[in-house]
Amino acid sequence: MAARLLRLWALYAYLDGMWIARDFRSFIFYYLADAVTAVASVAGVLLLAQRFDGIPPWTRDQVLFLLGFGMVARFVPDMMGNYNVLHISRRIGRGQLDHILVQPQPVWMALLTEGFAPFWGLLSLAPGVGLMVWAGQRMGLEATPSWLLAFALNLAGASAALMAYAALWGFAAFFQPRAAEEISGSAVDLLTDLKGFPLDALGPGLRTALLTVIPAGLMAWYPCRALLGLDHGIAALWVTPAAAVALCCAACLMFRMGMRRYAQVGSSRYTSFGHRR
Amino acid sequence: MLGENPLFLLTYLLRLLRLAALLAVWRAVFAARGQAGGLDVEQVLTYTLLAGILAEPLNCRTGLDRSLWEGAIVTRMLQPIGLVASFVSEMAGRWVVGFAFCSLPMLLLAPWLGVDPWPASGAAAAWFGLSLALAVVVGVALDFLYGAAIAVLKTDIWMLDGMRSAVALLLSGAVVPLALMPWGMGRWMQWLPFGALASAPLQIYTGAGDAPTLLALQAFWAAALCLFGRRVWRVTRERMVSYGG
Repeated sequence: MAARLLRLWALYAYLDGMWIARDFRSFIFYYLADAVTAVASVAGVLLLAQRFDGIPPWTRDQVLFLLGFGMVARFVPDMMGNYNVLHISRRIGRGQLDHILVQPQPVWMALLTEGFAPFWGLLSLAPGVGLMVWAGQRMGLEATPSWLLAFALNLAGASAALMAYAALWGFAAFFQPRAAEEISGSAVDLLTDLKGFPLDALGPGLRTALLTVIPAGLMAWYPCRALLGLDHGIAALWVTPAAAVALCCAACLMFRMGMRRYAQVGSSRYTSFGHRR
Repeated sequence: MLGENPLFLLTYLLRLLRLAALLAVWRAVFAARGQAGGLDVEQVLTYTLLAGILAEPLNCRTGLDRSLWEGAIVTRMLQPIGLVASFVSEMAGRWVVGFAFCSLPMLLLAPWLGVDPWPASGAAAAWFGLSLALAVVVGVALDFLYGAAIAVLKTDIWMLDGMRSAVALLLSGAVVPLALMPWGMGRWMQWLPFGALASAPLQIYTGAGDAPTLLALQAFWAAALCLFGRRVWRVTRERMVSYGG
């Protein structure tokens, strides 16, 4: 099974590489647009941190680390969830789940591999990594093995939380294919648009909501607090990975419920003439 | 829109949350200082609130790009109404919905958010109306130029749209007032057309800028971009290609 997964990832990586490099103009355009979008989306907070030497209680370098972490955490779902795998509500809402169901492989394997596009958006990764490394050096961050393990766990947790949250909402399209067709995109926006903000100054009610109902705080703010020692205690390091596991379980449950319904009613998205309802 | 898809409410929720987060950031930043870049915390909070309330008019999107992408532009061109008028009237209709479901609640929540929503003075309010109208003209002209770029480049509009949104939001001063940009960047950025989109009306409203100078600059950009946009659009419309539905 692992070998098949690797083979499929290699295949999709090859296809992605071919698509990106199909002509020089597209190659330059996509990479440039991606890098500019990624940097501009966090530039507001970045410039503020520079202007005011940080956003209390975060120092400037800690803010830079947070922004870098958020960019990298966003890259992983983008890399794994192309072709509407991350925006799964579109596939379900448009009746395209059938395309997966007729394939001679499990649904989970198709979803885990079909959207793999490692070259797409690669330049949005570079500024994120650069910011983290630069800020880490300036802060004198000691990358001990245990810290690196905690970092990897939290980064994986943040990415998984986003994917699970998008899926959790996206599976609503099983029940309302038309109204919920674009819901995954809205869920992704809810989480990622706030990823660059230090949320400390928000009231406790809103802060709790941003860690639970709309877990935007898990994308960068909370894990970075734990990793940079703003939140003392070892337990804080486990919050993001644990929340990601909980969200993944909830998404799996929702998927099962959705599939049960799909087995009964199928897709009613298209009329017999082939037009979308 | 209302009956078909309630998802727009999530977009409005996001706008509210972003506003709350930005206000919190400004309070944290200004907690240790009285003024920065000639602005005090009250002005910055009002500036941010208004940028949230008027997010749609301050960042005009006529829907031309989507229309080009889907090929719907063809039927638009057959209609007995000018292309600009057609897109602008539809855009204004969308603003009404946004105003009712998002801007108005934001305005009503202002006291609860601890922000004074009133303009700096009566004159500022009057100038602001004119400035907002000019900002919309500049925004529509830029949107048509963007449409012309799509027609020429014949590329994926989603990628271009993401880049345009992120860059315009930053350069227009809708998120961070230009006066608060580091390294004196704001001084240069205010001369760009993007500065006429959000920074100028918001500065006038909060009494943070010289109204006649800002209005003159906006009027210049409005005239220049309308003329340029008209010319460019006339040339590129012959090169339009429909991408299908």
